[in-house]
Amino acid sequence: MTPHRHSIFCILPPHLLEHVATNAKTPAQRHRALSTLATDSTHRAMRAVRAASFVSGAPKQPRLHAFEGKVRRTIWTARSERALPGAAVARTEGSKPTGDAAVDEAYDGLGATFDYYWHVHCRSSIDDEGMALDATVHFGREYDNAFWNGERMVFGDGDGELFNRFTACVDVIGHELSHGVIEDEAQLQYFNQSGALNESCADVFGTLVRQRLLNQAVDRADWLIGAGLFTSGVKGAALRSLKAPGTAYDDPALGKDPQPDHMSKYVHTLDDNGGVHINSGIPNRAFYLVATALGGHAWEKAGRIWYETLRDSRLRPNASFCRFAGRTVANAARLFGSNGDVEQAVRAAWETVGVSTK
Amino acid sequence: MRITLRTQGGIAHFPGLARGVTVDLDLLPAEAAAALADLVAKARLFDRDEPPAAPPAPDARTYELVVEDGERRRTLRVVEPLPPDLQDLVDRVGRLARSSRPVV
Repeated sequence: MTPHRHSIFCILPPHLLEHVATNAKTPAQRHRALSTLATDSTHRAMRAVRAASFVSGAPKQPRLHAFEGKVRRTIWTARSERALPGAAVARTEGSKPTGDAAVDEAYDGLGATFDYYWHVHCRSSIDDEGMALDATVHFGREYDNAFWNGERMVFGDGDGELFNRFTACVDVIGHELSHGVIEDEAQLQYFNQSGALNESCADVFGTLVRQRLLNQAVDRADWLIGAGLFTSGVKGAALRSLKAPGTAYDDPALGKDPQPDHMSKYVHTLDDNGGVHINSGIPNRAFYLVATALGGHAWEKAGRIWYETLRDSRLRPNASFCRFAGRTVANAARLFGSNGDVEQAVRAAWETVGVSTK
Repeated sequence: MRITLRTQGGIAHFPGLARGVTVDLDLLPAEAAAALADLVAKARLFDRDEPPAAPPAPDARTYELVVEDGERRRTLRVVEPLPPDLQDLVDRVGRLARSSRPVV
């Protein structure tokens, strides 16, 4: 771990730092206080612009440009506690594998996701500004979840009876980090249809991260999210299937995969923030249908249309399935030609799952 | 005393976990029942306030805890991350439910 001696400066108010700089006993003390002041005023200014830009609706903030296209990973271990960032740094960028599967899988999964966004969409990390990618593994005891908390990835080890460790599936890592991308771009509100679109886009890019890592064409991919996450005691293949929503598992403890594959089976519920993980099956299948209709690598055309739709300023945070579908059609036309095969494939896919693109 | 735990969301929504599991302290071995009663007391389930509503975070789990003791009954809905006293209780109930799961 790198030494971090001056962290106290981070929580001192600027007028105290100025006092330290003016009255410093040694040049080193003065230098440290001044450099903290300089960094901090920059960040304060950026934060202010950021806050103002949210108010005015400006789409982007000033950029640092310092780390474009360079992944910077730090993996922490929580040693079964629940404190973040964790008890110790387990692996940093460029260092060798540790032999701890959770640490190394998190490191590789963050790398695969970064590479996907950079090489396919020319996106530099979650915020498109080269944000460092941090993760904490071995979070809690028998912890059955993984999540992106706005700053870092957090992975539980699973309980061992229903779930294995949550780093095991690269598409789950891609799914979680994509929630960060979605929050940065479209800010799809996390309930009802806009929430199901948020979930669906996280699944789409999660599975594309895995397909690209394995260099799979559409007909070779399994289109599953979380294959291998269940223990052998669970009756199920995965968490979800984009190809056949509703068929991923059927288990006495977990119940049956509740995902619909068509608008006629849309689930109206107050559970799960209005069924965000349930109704995402409908747009998930639409993406699968587009990708398989176009063939080849799903990320090249279908993935590009979905990514451009996420970045589309006409996509509102409260978008319905219909509005989202309409934007995918418009982006397909814009990218690949009006009334061309690609646009027709996108229209046909939404029609098959019962969503109007008119 | 009976405690019911319903879990929604997380990285997926599982109908079986959302349906909920109920642990009846009268039916537990004395030691396990005492440990659970202790966690319930520490978490002050009957007295504590409902946490304020916040915008939902992606893939955070929502827990619904129902505790019934004689005439008293309380339902509490909480979203991850949980305060430590509630987390300990949720973990314990979840573990008891898993250990009584039919072997398939």
